[in-house]
Amino acid sequence: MNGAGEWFAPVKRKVSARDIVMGAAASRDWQRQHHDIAYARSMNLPDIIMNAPTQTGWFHAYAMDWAGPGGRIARWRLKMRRSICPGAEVVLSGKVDHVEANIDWPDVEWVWLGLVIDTGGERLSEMALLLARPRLATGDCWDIPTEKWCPPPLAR
Amino acid sequence: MNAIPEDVVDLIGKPCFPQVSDCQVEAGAIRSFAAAVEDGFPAFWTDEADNMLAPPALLSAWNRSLMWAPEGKGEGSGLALHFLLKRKLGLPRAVVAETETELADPIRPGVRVKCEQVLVDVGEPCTTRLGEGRYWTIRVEYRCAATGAFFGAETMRFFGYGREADT
Repeated sequence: MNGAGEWFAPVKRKVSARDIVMGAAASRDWQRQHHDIAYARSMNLPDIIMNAPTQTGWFHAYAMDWAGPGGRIARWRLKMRRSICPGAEVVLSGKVDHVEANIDWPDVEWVWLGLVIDTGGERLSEMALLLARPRLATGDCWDIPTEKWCPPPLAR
Repeated sequence: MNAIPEDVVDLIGKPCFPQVSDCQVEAGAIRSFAAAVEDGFPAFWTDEADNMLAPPALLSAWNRSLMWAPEGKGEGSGLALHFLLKRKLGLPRAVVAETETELADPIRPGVRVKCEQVLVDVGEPCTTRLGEGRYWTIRVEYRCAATGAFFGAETMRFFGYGREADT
């Protein structure tokens, strides 16, 4: 098991228009700034922009690839600082901010992550994420019943 | 655009726009999103319906109405309160600045999701790189339409801008 201060391996991606349109469509989001460049520019935006669920999905995929199939997301805060547009070469990175025992379900620990998407030294988006992770590789946080699922606050 | 209209102030703290998703959560939608964000989490790809989970990032998606339906044209967005605010505040453009989400029971295929929207606050006029406007905050709670089980809640902070005279 890893602890607070661990950094994740960065992942590089070049954002395509298809990434943006596909994510918006799959999240049933047909707001025009996510697929119509002329409309996006009329909003003073540089191009079509990635919507919040797609950014969230990118962060979640990155975090859960680390946490494993027994991990379970509890809370997150997404701050979108700059628009994510086609052509951007971005880097996802993140680290473990804090780890704490789960007193309601001792086989599981709470893990606070700090995740970011940057491009060329500029911060585009950031997520504070709280997830539950089993202490053993065979554990599964989805076994936690509703009455025992009591995530602590995001702020620590 | 200094004073907040009284009818907007009256909305603060009151649950409104109850809505039930126009379709059941289903595997195809789950996989389409997982593919779009390249997420290989096993519970999004399993063929065993009982073990399948909906991506947390789709919490709000199930209540976005279709763009078209035989009985009438849809709006394509579940956030009716947000669009009402844009109209009432005369700010036709808006972007999401920040979201905070909490999750409870997992959403699985076969359920319908119901939601209610609450206006939390409306900020004072301010200026960002997008122009003059205001921030406002909306909280949406999501539950199982059949059982009332709590799936989660999303609190979204928007920035509305682009006064109608400019558009």
